[in-house]
Amino acid sequence: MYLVNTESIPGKEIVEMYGVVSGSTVRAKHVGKDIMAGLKNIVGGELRGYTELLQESRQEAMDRMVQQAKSMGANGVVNIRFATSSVAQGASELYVYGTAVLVK
Amino acid sequence: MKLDYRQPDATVNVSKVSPLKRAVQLFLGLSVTFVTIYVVLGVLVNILAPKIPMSLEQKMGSAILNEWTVGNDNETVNSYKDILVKLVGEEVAATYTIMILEEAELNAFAIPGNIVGVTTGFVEEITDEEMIAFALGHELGHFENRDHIKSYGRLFVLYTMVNTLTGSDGSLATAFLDLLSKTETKFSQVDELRADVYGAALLYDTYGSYDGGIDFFNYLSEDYDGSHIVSYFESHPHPEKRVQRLMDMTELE
Amino acid sequence: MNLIVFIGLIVLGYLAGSAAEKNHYRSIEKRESEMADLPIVTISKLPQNMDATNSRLVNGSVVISIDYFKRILAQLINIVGGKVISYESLVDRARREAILRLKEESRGYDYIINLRIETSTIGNAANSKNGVGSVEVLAYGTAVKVAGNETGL
Repeated sequence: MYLVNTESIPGKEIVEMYGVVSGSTVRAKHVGKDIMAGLKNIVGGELRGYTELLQESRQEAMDRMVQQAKSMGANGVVNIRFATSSVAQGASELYVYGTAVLVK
Repeated sequence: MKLDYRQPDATVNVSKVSPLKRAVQLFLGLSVTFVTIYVVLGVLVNILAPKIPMSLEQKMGSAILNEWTVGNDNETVNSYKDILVKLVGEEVAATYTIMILEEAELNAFAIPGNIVGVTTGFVEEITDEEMIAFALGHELGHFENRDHIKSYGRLFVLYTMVNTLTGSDGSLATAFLDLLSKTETKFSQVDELRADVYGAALLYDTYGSYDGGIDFFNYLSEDYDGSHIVSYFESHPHPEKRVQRLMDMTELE
Repeated sequence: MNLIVFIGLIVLGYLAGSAAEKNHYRSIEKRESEMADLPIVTISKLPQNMDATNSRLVNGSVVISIDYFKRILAQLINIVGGKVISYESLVDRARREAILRLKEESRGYDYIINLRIETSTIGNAANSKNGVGSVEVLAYGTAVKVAGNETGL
C-alpha cells in the first residue's frame, strides 16, 4: 500500500482514482498517565504518555484509512492529511484522510 | 489517469463494540474496585486510628465545632457532668467536656478531642436521668472505640480516591461517592450497635437496670417515621433493632 | 436522590441519543448513495484532459452534540484508557454529514477537488472540566464544472 502526502507518487504512475478515504479514532490514556501529566505541568518537558497516545491514535487511524482504501480496490493513498483535536478531556482524536488510487 | 469514483467501506471508523455493554462493564468493574479498595482501607484505618495523637484530635474537634453555635446553659452542663461522674467516676469524667449545641433536632455527638456534644433539642426532650445517662454512655462508647476517628479517616480516603480517579467531574464522582457512602453506613451501623452495648453496660453498673436505654429507644421509635428498609441505608440502625439488641443482652444477664 | 437523577439522565441520554444516531445514519447512507455520482477527491488537480469552465469554493459544516450517556461513558473510559467508542460515532457522523452538505452545495457541478476538513470542539470548551459538549466539522473544497463529457477520462 503506497502512502504519500504528495499528489502523485514519485516515480510511479497513477492509473485510476477512486475517491476520498478517511480514518479516525478517539483514544484516551488511563488516569495514571493523566496524573503524571498533571505533575509534569509543574516541571515542563515532554509528556511521554500523551506522545504515545498520539502515536497509537495515528497508527490506528492510518490502519482504518488503509482498510477503507483496500475495500475500494485501491493500492495507494495520495495527498494524505492529518488533523488532530481534543474532543474530550484527556482524550485525543486523530483524523487522517486522502485520495485512494490504483498505482502501476 | 481515469477517475472511477467509488464509496469506501464506511463502517471502519466506528467500533463494533456495543457502547451500552462497555458502559455496564466499566461501571461494574470500577464499582467493585472502589468498594474493595474502600473496605481494605477501612480495615487499615481501624488499625491506625488508636495511634492518632490527642492534639490532632483537638484540632479536628475545633474545626467541627465551628459548624455550630455553642450554648452557655451551664446548669444543664453541670447536671450532665454529675451524671457522667456517676457513670465512670470523677477522674475519667474530668477528661471529657460537655457542650450544648444550638439545634432543634434531638441528637448527641462524639466530637474529636473528648467533647460530648448534645443538642438543645435533646436537652428539651430528654429529661429522665437514666435516659440521659444511657445517651452519654453511648457517646463514651464511641470515644472508647475511636469510632469518630475511624469514620473521618474512611471518609477522607473515600473522597480523595474518587475525586482523583474520576477527575472530580461532578456527575461521575457523585455516582461513585453515593455508592461508597452506602458501604460507609454499613460500617457505621456496626459501630453504633457496639456503642449501645458499651453505654448499656455502664448504665447497668450504675443504675442496676437497662431501662434507661430501652426507654430511650422507645422514645426514638415514636418519632421515627422511617421504615426498616430506609434505615438500612441510614448511619444508625432502626431504633426497634437497637431495643431488640438491648433486650437480648438483658436476657443474657 | 442524586443517584436517581443521574441514572435517569443516563437512560434518557442513551435512548434519545441512540434513536437520533440511528436516524441520522440512515439519512446519511441514503444521501451518500444518491450523491454517489458526484466525485470528490483531495488532490488539487482535475483528472487529465478536462477543460474546466467554472469553479468555486464550496463548503459544508455541521455541529453535533454529545448526549449524556456518551459523555459518562467517555469519562469512564478516560479512567481505564483505550478507545473512546462513544465519541467515534459522533465524529464519524459529523464528518460524513459535513461532506454531504458540501456536495449538496455543489449541485450542478461535476467534480469537487482539493477537499480539506477542519474539526474543532465547541460548546462547554470554556468549562473544560466537564469535557466537550459538541463536535464541529467544516469541509471545504473547490467545485468544478467541466465542458462536455462528465464521466471523465
